[in-house]
Amino acid sequence: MSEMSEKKEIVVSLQHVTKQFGSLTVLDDMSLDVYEHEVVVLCGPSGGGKSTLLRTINGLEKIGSGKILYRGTEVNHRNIKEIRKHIGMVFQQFNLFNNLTVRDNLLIAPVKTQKKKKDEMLKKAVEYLEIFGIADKLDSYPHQLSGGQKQRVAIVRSLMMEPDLMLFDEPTSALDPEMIKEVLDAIRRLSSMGMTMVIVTHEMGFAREVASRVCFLEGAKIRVNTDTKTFFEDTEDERLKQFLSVILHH
Amino acid sequence: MTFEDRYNIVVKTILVQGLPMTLKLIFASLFFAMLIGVVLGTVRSLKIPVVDQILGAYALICRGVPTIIILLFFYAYLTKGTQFWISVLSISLVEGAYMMEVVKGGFLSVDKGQWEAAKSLSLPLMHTITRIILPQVLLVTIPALMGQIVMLVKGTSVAATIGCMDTLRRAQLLLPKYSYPMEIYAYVLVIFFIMCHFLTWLGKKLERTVVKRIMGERNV
Repeated sequence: MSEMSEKKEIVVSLQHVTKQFGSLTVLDDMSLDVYEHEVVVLCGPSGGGKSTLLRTINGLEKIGSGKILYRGTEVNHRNIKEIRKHIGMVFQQFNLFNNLTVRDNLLIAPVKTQKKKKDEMLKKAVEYLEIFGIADKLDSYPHQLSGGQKQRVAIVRSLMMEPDLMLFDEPTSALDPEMIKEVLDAIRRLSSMGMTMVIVTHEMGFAREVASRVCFLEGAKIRVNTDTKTFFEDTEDERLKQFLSVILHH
Repeated sequence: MTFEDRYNIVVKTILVQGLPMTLKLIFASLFFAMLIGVVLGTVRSLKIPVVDQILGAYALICRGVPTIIILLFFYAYLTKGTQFWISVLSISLVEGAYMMEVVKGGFLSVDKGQWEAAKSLSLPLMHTITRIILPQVLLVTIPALMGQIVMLVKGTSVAATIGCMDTLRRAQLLLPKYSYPMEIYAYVLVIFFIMCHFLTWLGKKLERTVVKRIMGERNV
């Protein structure tokens, strides 16, 4: 946990963000600031808008009204491509490029988009793969990897862009129980490196351990947004108490 | 018929004169049909208004009319162009329409997560399509495309009807000279059978090797 100084810069600021799918409101006037080096966990029941909120941050979902600021700049359709280069995204279903080897999955964005030198990037890729214990998978295709390995490759793929912020959309929900730990360990490592992260997860034990702040989303609203200790031990919100009692003791 | 007659029919006429023309028809038509299929199939997958309706109409017409009628139509209508190129045009248009629909279907089978991952990495759209989506489309549609290619190979024989000197036409021209039509047609039949059977085998081989290596078992 990194709770150093009070005066930290805001990386992403969501201000009164609203979104509707037809007549269904999925994000109802949500506001959230994510500070540098912070790990913000979004949790809550299904359909609460967690994933949608996360996906608005890098423009995978358009917002109806409100605004999103990245490092003080309002995100719009003109600058979103540039801003995305600084935001890493890890998906529930990994979304590794199926037709490319691990090597090409890791190199395609930095080499093709950012025009960086291929051999330097390869060196970097290997370093990251070693850190995450999958250096021997460089020439494997995604289908040859386990779920946990795929997700770690997906994390490395994001890291190759040297992101300023990482978004995780239920990164362990599609994994077998014994693989969850290896992915959570990878995220813990990023946290210890001071990476700013927003994580949607149901792993409450993990949230308690790495989060600096936890938000409870329900009914398209952020019901609770508080520091981790208060969230788990000292909440006043009845609905959250009920949610925690079920999810922590199942 | 003597052995020499048969040698003249099979080797000198059908294999040396007819087959190269058939192969030229196959390769030229295949090139343009694939070009039409891949490019227009990609365009169709983007569902651009008006453009998509036009391409839909194209598919409807070319798949709903016998190739031979399209061929005769162009032969009557076009004053320029050799029989060869008019045949290539007709076959490419018809087979291209089928391939376009196969490729479009292939695009639908690619998980939208692939697009989202590319987007989140800021990959330009052209890169996303040419490096990630289209290769997967082609890999998963190999069986369907191979089936279509076999249809194309068989379909090139319509060129004989407008006098394109392919295998079939060469064989037909031999009929007045020899009185064994069944035997002569049988040679043509065997040649087409070998080509088509080879392609079917090649398709399966590709599926079991290349596709399996890259995409894994689930797509085979």
